Amino acid sequence: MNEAKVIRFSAAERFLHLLYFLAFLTLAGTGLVLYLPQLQGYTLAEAGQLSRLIHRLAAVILMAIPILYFLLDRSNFRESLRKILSWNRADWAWFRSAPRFYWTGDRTGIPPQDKFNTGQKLHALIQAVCFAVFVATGLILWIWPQGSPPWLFRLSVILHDLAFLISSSGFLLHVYLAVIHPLTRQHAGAMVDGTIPEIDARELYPLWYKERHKEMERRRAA
Amino acid sequence: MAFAILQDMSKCMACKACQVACKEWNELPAVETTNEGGYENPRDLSPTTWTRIQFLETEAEGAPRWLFYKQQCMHCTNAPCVEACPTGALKNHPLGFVSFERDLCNGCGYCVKFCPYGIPRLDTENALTGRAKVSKCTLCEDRVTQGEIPACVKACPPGAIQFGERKELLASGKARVAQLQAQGVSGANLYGEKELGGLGVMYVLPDPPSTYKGALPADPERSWWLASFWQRILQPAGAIGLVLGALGLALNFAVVSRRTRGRNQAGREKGDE
Repeated sequence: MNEAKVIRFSAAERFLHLLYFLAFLTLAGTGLVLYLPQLQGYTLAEAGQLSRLIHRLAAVILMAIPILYFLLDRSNFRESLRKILSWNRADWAWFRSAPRFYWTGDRTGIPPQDKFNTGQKLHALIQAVCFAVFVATGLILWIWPQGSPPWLFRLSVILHDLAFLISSSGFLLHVYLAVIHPLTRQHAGAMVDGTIPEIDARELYPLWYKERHKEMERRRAA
Repeated sequence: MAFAILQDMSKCMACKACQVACKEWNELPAVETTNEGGYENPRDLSPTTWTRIQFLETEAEGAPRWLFYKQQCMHCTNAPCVEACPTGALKNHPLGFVSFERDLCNGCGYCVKFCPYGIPRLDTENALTGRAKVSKCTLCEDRVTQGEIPACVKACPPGAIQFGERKELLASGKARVAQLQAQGVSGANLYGEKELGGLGVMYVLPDPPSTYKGALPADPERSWWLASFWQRILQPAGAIGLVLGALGLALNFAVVSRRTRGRNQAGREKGDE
């Protein structure tokens, strides 16, 4: 059996991914207290002040993550950004054949994928857009509760909420595929130890695998 | 039974007794102000000023015209602040006003921005942590629930502010408007009968509402629709969507587990051969 491993995520990427997970969970928890009547006890008096303080601290951490990503691992930051933003016709083919795979395990029709498959790219894009909305609207709610134009503040309240609904849907699906779905959960190790078995890399991300392979050959030749 | 306040601005003489009475009864400290060349004082509501008289200088037929307007919480029936308040600190009281429970307020300031009349004020202790409390006119809840009339009503020397059953005040307000119009005040009107489901504070105004710029917006309903859309449509729909999504994932798990179990067994059987 082939035990060879391919490096997929750097230490910085894995650390920041974990940090994002924890910050997102904290923000969702301290935000939900405002919307679930069962949790209303956490909005009142001192508990309310504390939950708002925790929400803000977690927000600062969340906002720092893309900056840290850029500072700590510039080459991967650039590569990820480039790959997430590159879309072509094959992505539509993925959307057509992916449901069958996720319900039956049949990979027929799934086009060869790059480092991130279409679903992963879409997830990253949705989270990035939601991140931008969270930061922009959150800062208005935080530092401009007085003096801001009412329409802007009202819009921010609603968009912040909408960004939560969209990003948490993506979050649930992401966690489900990573730790629960019987056909995909075994690949979550890439975010834990940073590697993926070579055999999986070749099967799941052939374009990325080929690119890496060429790169390694070039390095070996040099 | 719904109570209300009717303020006849054609009778108001801008003595500010209501301002002082409000501060006295509610134990709100006086604020230092500056002379800016007008009688209006203070220039704005604040966490410790829940009502004040606005002096509006307008023009009518080439002559200057001075209008007085008493500003405070309108105690709306369909109150945008009540819709927007995430902690339940702001509530519609059965006696017809919007009550405010200070202990429940977490200082988010949503009510400040959703109020179409711009009434609630945020008392910010720390802008960074967000430690704050909102405050606004309570319609003297502590007096009204004990059978007393609000402090501003009691103090008003010309009797421009009345407190009573809303239905009766509505009738007397309409009668007063008819009387004013008969006297030649053609712009006289009653404000607050239908706005936002009916205001708990109504006005007899000698001039059309549009003259009271800033104080009376043309479309106060808009922010109520927005707050209602957010709380009554977006949030429940979002919650239902998330629950359906989670159920979909559970179904997917059940289906896929069953199929892969079958496959593993097949594999094992093959291995046994």
